[in-house]
Amino acid sequence: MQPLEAKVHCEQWPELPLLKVAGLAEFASGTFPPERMLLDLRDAQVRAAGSAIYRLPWAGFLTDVPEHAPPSRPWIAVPQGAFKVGVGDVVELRPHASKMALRYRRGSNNNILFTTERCNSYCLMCSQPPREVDDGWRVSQLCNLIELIDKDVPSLTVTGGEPTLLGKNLRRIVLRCADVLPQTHLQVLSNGRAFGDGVPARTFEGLHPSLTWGIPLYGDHYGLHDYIVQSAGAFSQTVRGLYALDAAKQRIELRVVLVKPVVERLSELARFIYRNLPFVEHVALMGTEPIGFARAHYDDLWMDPADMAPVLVRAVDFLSKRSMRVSLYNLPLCVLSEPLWAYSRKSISDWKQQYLPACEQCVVKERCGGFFAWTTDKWTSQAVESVRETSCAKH
Amino acid sequence: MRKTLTVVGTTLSALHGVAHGSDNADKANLAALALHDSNYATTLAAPLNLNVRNMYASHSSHSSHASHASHSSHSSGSGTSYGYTPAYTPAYAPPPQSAAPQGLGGVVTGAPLISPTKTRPSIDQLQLMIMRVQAALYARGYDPGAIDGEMSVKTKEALRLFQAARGLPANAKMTTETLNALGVALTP
Amino acid sequence: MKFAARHAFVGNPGYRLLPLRFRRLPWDSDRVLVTSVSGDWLIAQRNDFERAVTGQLDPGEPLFADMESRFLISADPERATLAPILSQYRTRKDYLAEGPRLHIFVVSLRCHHTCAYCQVSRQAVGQTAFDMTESTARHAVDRLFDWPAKTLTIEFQGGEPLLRFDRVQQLTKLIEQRNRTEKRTLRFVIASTLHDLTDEQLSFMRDHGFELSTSLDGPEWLHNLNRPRPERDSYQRTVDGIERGRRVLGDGAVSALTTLTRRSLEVPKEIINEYRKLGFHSISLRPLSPYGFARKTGTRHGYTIGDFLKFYEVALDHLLQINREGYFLEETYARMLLSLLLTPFSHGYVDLRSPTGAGLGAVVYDYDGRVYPSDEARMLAAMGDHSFALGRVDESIETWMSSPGMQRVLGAGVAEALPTCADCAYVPLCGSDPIDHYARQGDSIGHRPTSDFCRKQMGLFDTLLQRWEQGSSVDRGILEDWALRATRREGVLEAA
Repeated sequence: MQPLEAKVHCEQWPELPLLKVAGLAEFASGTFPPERMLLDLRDAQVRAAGSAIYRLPWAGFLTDVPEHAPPSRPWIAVPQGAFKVGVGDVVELRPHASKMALRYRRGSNNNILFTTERCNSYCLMCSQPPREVDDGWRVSQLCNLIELIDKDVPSLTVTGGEPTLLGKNLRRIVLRCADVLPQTHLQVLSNGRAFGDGVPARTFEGLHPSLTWGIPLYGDHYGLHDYIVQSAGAFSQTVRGLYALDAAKQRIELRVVLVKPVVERLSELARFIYRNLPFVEHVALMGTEPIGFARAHYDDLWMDPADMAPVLVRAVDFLSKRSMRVSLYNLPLCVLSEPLWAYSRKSISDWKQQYLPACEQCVVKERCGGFFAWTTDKWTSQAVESVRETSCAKH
Repeated sequence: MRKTLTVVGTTLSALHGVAHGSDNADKANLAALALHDSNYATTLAAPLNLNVRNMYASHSSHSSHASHASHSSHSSGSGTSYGYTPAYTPAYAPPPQSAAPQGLGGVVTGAPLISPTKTRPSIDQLQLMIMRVQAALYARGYDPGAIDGEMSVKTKEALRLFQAARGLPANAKMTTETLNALGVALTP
Repeated sequence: MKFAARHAFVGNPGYRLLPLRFRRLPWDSDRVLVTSVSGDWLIAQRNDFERAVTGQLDPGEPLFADMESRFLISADPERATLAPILSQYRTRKDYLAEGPRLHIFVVSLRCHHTCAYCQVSRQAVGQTAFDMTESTARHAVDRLFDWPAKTLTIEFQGGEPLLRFDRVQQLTKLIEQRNRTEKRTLRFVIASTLHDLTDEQLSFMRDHGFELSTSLDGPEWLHNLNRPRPERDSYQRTVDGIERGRRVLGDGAVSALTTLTRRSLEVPKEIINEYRKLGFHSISLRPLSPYGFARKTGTRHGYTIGDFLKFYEVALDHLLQINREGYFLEETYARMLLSLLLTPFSHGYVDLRSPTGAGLGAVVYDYDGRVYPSDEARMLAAMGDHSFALGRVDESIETWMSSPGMQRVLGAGVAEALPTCADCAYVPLCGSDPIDHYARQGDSIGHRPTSDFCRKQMGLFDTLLQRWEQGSSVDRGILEDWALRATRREGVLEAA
């Protein structure tokens, strides 16, 4: 588990910028102006490069040793510890609190654009419990952040809270990504309710070259879905929203978190999806993340994934026979029967992922997504154990 | 089609309802719902068969005709030039020490200009470009001497070595191919 | 933030029925099939269904959710949405969009054969007066492009279209030429015996991407019995034609149908084995129709629909067995009916639609310049009854659509509005055929309890539904595979 924030030592900072950590390659490429970059003096090669490069208008310097920084120039020292920041990363500095937060990590499999803490649903298993705050300031910060992200990052996730609560600003952010990061796939995680409640989805038509909407659906009738998201009317709004997005030619992924009440009707949900929403590009069946609200609702939600086996096999078979793409997220291979392994993805973000002691001898560890860093015994399947042999050839 | 859907929707509500409570009010609600929701109804497209894996892979598929294109094909946009445009003017003002580097006498002539515009770049811009080239060479293990924005002998030598290694004409000129190979962006 | 229990999200108590129809299962009188307005369905115990209809379902029971999810009932309208059922309905009727896609050009009535059951009113090989003239052909091509459909299937029929192949060529070229500006998607099909197929004809067909559709009634003795030629070698010539067609145009370009005579009904397995032997993966088991010569010789060659259904059950079981052994062989009508039962999608067959496919899904341009909404209408005209003629190729399509013939078709063309059909559980999946009812019963609206068309559809739906729901998981898989291939996003076949 890698922390995203740390206390730092910093001197002479005039304000609160987002900064890109730069080495010689970042300087050479010219993609970002020195004014928005921290020159990383921890790299001996940089220090040896000569004083001329220091004189450029860097926002400041990143260093282990404050004396390395040129006099009267802003610098930041990152203490030893779990917090890692490297070249290409984008950091947010809060000098008053002497804190630095990581806003983009080069090489991470899950960089996010966090839009708001507000939400209009209250899912029983929400991993990011909403807060009613006025955090509209995030929008301009995100627009800045987007400009400092590597152009070759394969994908970004727009999340929250509920991104559609940004209103027109969501479109603004998507458009900024389209302009500045045209090679980057964008996934927006949203409940889609706004589009089923009068907000026109067509404003997103043709806006971005590679955009998908990740939208949760928990039941084939409103009683179940509304209960899971704790909001009356949510199902009908989300379903309408799905049709509106389809009419606006948007790509859609349905996300189904495998909590007990949902699994009990998973076959029916798969059928409902095929009959009513066959245009979705992908269906993700997801193991529960044991953080946030989920923890308080263990008794209502927990079902050992190993016990889901027959239902999962049926649902995956049903959907894939109908040419619908389906994946299993957040479930270790040992709890899935082998025919399902091909559908399993390594979905847990690197910074919150771990393997367990039981995984030591496992022959398929490389292919397995492992566990959430904050998993506990009661949120871990009884069936977790090293896989000793498999019928597939070694990859 | 919308009218048809509304008719269907109204038929949906004009039914032998068996709910408790006010029957007519419920029928009216359902009719209103049908009318409202007909704005959302779409024609469902069948999933596109893209060799989706069959769990119990059996006989090979016997399809004859090519599939129609879907509107949701994944396409990434074409790359644009890597020039940056800052969203805001930098607030940081360089302190007096960082005056313009010395040693650059006169205008550089003869060297092919790499800017896409016809005008000559300012000296600052050119110096910056040379510094970038020097930094890129350095990062790749060549020795351009000091990273100082001057087209020194050492810098030219390093550039030639790099160009030769890449199969480019080893002329120590900052051509577009050379800059691309170094990963240095052309400035607007 | 207080979390609420499940029951807090039920909404206003009670529920109402959405339009639904039901049918007691012939093979299990304790259970009923219940269908929604768009053809989604479930099978329930009869007593549970009665409770549902009389308002006694409990919101907590699984059947409640099952019926909600299929839009058979609706609970609180403040929390429910009808957008899915409306989308399903729109999708099921999608064949209406764009107008007729199947266009049949009868280039000649001449034919080699003298089949007793022929519905074509054939003419002898030398009778060129029964060929389509150039003028008719040109007009027909103009009319073809007056229709809005983006995909056009052009099917050449006869008699035997190969006997007037130059006309086929001319029509093809005219159509392709015009299509350079029109830019529709074109499919060319030729329905032919494939006898005396020349290399030139094959090359032409290859160059223009033709598909070949031929008749193969079964093993040699049966085929020759059904399809007499003076030389008595119809089977051999057909097989030769199939082989050569496959070699030049590819395996997938050649398909075959049976026509079932009374003799055919005695040998279902032999017929199917013949198709397997010849490497077909698709067979059409098509019962006789009451037109043309078939009507005159009905008593000798005819049979009841009940006989046909018995035959079909044996055939279906044999097909399942063959598929179980690993050889893929589907029956095309079953494939269509299964796709209706098991998917929400529309289909390309013109003979099972509501509103009817006649005139709305298909148009026939006869050799003499007359135009009909279906082949059957043309047959009736050949027997002297022009009730369903639309007009002539030199008139506008608007004239055709407002002709008395078309009015007769439309007046009985919506199954949901026909007596008995309106209450049938299968009606969202079924179709109307006013011309068939007129031909068999003398009335385009028809009388369902004595209708062969109805008996056939219901019998086949029942048979397939029973095999699917009671079958082993392997058999279910086979039947689902047929249905799903039909709706994979690929070209959809149009039936002749």
